[in-house]
Amino acid sequence: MKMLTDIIRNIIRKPSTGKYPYKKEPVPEGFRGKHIYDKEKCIYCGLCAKACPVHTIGVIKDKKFWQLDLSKCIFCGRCEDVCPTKCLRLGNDYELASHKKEDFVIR
Amino acid sequence: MSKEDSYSIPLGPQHPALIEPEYLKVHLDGETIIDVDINIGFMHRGIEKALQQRTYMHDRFLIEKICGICSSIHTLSYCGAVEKLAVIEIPERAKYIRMIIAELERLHSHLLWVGIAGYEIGFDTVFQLAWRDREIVMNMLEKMSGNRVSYSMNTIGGVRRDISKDMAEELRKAMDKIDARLHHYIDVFVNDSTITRRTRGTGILTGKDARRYCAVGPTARGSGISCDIRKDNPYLKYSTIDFNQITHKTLDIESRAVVRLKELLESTKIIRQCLHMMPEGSLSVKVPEIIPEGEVIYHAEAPRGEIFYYVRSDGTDKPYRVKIRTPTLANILSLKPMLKGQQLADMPVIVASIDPCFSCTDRVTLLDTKTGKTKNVDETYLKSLKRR
Amino acid sequence: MIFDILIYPGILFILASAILYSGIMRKLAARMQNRIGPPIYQVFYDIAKLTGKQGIRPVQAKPGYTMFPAIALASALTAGLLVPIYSTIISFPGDYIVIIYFLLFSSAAMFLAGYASANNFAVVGAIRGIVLILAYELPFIIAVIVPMLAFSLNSIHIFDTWLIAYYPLAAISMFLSILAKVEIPPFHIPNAHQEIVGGYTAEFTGKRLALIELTTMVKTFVLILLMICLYLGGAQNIFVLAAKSLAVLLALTVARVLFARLRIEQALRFYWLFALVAAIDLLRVIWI
Repeated sequence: MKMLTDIIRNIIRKPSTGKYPYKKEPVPEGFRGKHIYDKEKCIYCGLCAKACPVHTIGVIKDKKFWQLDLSKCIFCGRCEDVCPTKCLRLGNDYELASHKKEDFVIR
Repeated sequence: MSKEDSYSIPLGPQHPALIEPEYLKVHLDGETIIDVDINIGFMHRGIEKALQQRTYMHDRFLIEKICGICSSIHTLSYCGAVEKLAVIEIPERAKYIRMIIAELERLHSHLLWVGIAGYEIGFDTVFQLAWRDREIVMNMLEKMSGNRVSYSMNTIGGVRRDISKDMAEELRKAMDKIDARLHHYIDVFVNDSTITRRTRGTGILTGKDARRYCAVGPTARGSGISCDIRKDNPYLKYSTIDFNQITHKTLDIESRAVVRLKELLESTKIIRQCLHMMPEGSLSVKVPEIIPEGEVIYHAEAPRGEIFYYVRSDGTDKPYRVKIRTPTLANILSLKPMLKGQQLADMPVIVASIDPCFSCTDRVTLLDTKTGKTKNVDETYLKSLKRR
Repeated sequence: MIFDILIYPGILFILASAILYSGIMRKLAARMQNRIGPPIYQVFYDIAKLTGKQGIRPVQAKPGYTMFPAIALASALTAGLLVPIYSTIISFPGDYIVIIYFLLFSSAAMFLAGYASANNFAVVGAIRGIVLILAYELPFIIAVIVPMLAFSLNSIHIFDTWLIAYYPLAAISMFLSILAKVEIPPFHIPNAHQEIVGGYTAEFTGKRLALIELTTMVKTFVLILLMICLYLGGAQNIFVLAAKSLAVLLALTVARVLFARLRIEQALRFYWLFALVAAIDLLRVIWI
């Protein structure tokens, strides 16, 4: 019967769960979500591709080509750490489900 | 009744009481368990082999994925081992931050266990409320590291993110909240009559058996054996911190629950001291990509017990061998003496009482019964089985 | 007459309110556990979904696999029709005793359905269920016949006095046996999800699972009605009925969130102890 006090208190209290798909929870500062890539600032040095532990970033310097496959990404934030121009950072978006494969590729 | 002519039912590989697939064949006489066969190996992922094919820095992120719950203690041990090999001393502040994250991880892991234990004995309210309170810790971890599960805080040579003054203040407040709840849960687990009916006197593991089956962590401490790497062989800065090692001598499930809950009170104490003692300074030092030749062991106290890392380098940028022994592998055999003679109804909670984490435990050796040849299962073999 | 039996206050009314009460119970339990919980009408959706699903009959299933869930629901509904709420539908003298039999029959049919599905876990669940019947039937029977003996054994009597005040021990044992009859914690032993994978329901899918779920809901509702009729002064109109039944439902929900599951032998000991306690009231009725 030790949980009785909890139960009585909970009836009055606001529920601690949220109505997730309808109301999104805010994420804290520094959250590691979907990448934000600034094409203008990128110098195609390839450091992010080298640092990526799952090899999901592909860079071709001559063709000025850069792409990241989110479906393989583990969101470790290592690419953000090594980027010399800070053109790549991890944003706040965490809803990544999609029907199309193209949605997982950032260019 | 002997084991052969008894009625046997499977617990697993797919069973709601075990979240991960593992196969326990239970031999029953009515509802009494007479014996149990423990078969592991359903979750083997070939990680140790995969580690040999990647560089030290890339390994660090794979190591994090070994266990979802103790992701920080794995990287802590691995990074510690590699730093030992490279003979590098990490900054003082980084040591304290590593300890804070490790203790927060213990908090959320044990609170999760409290919920699971409640769920296994059919007490959903304990489950829901313990997990609600666990959210306090999870939110703190998310704020500090940017992710709820894979914190990625430890890196070779230090830590990746700092704990700011505001964050430290918030953490102290969170610890006060957690402390109040912990005292309540200790009261519930010791005094609630329906819980004690299920946990008192069930799943007895005597100190002698615990030693014999090499139990570690809270499982052993619940049998009255003192074994805590933080005390026995202090790593990081644990030698400078004032905390108690908790042991409890009633040997049953309640004992293990009390050990875990009281341990958390010590954890919040450690976190407060760390926040107080943390010096200013840099967060990490640079580590060369090539690690000098040598071999090293590193062990640490994970939430479930002792975690053991052996790393051997052959002077390249990839490790020659990484051997991991997780606490569940040490604990899982102690299920045998715990389960013998118990009721089937108590089986899920007894299995849960060692806080099993099977995905880190599993290892597989294939044995051809005709030729007697053995074959190790590695990453390439597993990938060849993959469906395209 | 036909309207009474089929629509109101007959089968349709009982089914609809049983599902509604199950939804309310889920919502209440969720709020007590500090959750938002599913919407109250969620159970309607669940049942509708289950009836739309394909039913898979396991190869090893024995005869009766399909029949027993239907029998279980039918007997629970018949018991519901016999309960004389504020008007009697098909009641006859001595019908309270018939209610005992129909409810028992409903439980037995459920466990037989478990046996018929021939799954290891379902069989263990069914054994536990049968043992549990042994435990709770005794206090339940005592609790039902105490008010009848106090007035008259062979007439349709709608009790309009609060008998709980006169026979509190019997009333409590009635409440406790409701918990076990509809498998609410701490007595959700036969369908223990963590131990035996849902027990006797393990092999049921689709419409048959819907029947089993509905049986439990209908039984809960019928037992609440019975409790009101016997001990809580009956119900003169639908508002009184709603108020009283929701109060009983609240008490059941508190029990549901407040306790851990007992082991089968602990439950047995507990109920026989309570049968003894309830017998005090029985003795009072007989000799005093």
